[in-house]
Amino acid sequence: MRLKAAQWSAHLRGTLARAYGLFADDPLLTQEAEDALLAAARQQGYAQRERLNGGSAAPWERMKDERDAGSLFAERRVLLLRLDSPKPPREGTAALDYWLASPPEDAILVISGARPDANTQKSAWFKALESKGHTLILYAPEGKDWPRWVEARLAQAGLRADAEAVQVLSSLSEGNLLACSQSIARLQQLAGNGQVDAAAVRAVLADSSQFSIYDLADAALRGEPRHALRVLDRLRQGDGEPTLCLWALHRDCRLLLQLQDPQIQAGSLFSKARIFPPRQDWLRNAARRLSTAGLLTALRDCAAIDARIKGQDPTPVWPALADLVLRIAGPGPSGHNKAH
Amino acid sequence: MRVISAIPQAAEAWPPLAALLAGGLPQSMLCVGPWGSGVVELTDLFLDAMLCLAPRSDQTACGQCRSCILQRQGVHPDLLRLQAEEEGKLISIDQVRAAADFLSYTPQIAARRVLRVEPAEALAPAAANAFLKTLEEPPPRAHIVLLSAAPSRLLPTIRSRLQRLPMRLAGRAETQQWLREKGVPESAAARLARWAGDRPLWAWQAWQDGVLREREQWIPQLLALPHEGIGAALALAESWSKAATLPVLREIALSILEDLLRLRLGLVETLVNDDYITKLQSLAGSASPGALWSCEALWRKLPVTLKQNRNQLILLEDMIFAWYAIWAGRAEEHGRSA
Repeated sequence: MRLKAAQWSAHLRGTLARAYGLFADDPLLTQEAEDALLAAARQQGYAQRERLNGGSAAPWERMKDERDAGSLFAERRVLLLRLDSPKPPREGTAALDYWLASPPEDAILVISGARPDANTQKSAWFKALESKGHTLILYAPEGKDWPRWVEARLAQAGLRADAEAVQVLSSLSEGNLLACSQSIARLQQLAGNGQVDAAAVRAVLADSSQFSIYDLADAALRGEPRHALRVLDRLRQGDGEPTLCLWALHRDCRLLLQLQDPQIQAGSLFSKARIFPPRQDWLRNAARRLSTAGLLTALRDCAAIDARIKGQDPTPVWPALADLVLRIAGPGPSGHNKAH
Repeated sequence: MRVISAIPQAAEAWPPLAALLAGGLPQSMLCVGPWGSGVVELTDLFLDAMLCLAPRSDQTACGQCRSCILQRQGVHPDLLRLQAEEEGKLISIDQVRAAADFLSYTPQIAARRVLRVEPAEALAPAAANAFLKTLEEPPPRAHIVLLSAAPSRLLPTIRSRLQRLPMRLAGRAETQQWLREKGVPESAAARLARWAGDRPLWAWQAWQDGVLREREQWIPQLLALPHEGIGAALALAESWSKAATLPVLREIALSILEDLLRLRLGLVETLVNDDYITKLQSLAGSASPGALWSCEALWRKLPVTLKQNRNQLILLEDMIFAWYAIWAGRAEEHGRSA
């Protein structure tokens, strides 16, 4: 059975199942779910825990051995297995089938890993795990949920933060849950009286926000030049690939030009390009906001940037990417000359 | 064995070369002609004759002497072929130094040692400079032949040290006749000769590759583009980036662009794509000449650009919108005055 994040703590107060699958893209989320599960298990008498990864034998082999080993002293234990890839190998699914067919009475199996995609969720092993045990898929808070999450974490840590402090903390650690929770732990140590304000947060924190190329394209589409430039800056400092940034921005330029063409149906364009609701609106708004001539210039910029990336033109790439981002994000000319 | 009849213009082009072989042969030579024009093949005939021990009365190689046999097997000790070690790379300075070393020895079998450099524009700048001294004063009985499709890309100091050989290119009628003899149907031969009259070997290859069929598909697409929406242009760029062989597309686009320029100058007789003349005439009138030239430059640079592993979709969009811009400017002016 699949559990929702909100049901998790209530579930842990009841009797535990024989097998669990914990999945999230952010390591902090799986870690915390696992910690809570282990704490509950200990209370119910499963004192021993064992990680199957990292031993000399393959984890799947060890899992089989554990299943076969009749426990001599009837010691109750928790077995933790971490999936390296979203698709376990064949011996893995075989071992899992073997386990789930008749799980031992005195063990709880906990499998954790990255969030499985739609196809994986349809696979036999995942369905078996879901029907014989429980699965929990956790999503990282995004957009408006993010400051709320930060606020909740601060409260949970016993800190009283004002609105500005929450805002600074959430913007400096956006998309990076682990960094955020570590910052809160640090603030907890430093703020003796439990009071936190924006200055305290700034004093403690470096900018540890993390963004993907999709955040860059989205911010530009939504017409948020400031935010888009910050995302680009973080990408540049991190491991952002100019080729991928260009790919994401170029794709949007194409889509916007296609949206502005009266002969193209927006609906079929979206379904063909696999664009889903929030992006659809952003694209529609941006297509209204930007002029066709401006977008054609942006397309030419794309070619120039590609030449820079491939070493044909020695001028630096990132400033040109920033120009392109601003071209998409910035307010277009007043809009009356949109028609071509 | 290379035969002179494999090159359509050979009958006319050979006598001046034969005269050189009979009388004083220059030591540093340059052979110029576009790829597929037969110049490379003609130069190779010339090299065979230079190495042959018993040339025939018309100065062509006999094909039977020891030198000719070794040459045919590609192991002639007196011939060195200098070319880039990998396709698309440059000729390095070390290669040039080794070649200069090769030339400094006396010939083993033939009357002379020969160095053949193809293409000469692949010489890296440092390699070209290292070559200057050898070109200026080759060792006794050493001859250097450089082949180039784009002599303007050679260093001026290199060009000035070379004697340019008289390389006659084929004419339109010659090419058409030659293609007919090879079994190409009359109308296709005429079309190809109009398109690439000075490049018969390219035309023959194009015929074998079915390029005329691609032409019939792509030219209407290109000519319709100025009247279509941006969405259609983007879709065309996408389909070309997946399907089209870009060098062929380039040939077609260049021929159209040059036709538009010809029409603007009133040169109707030399039009290449005369089967699309009405459409071309209606487009030529409203084209902006500046944009026409910059679009032509983009297509001409394509082979260089492609070597850089550029994103093909972005590249084609750039080219297609440059094409689009040839008429967009005029359309805007028109809209403003209306």
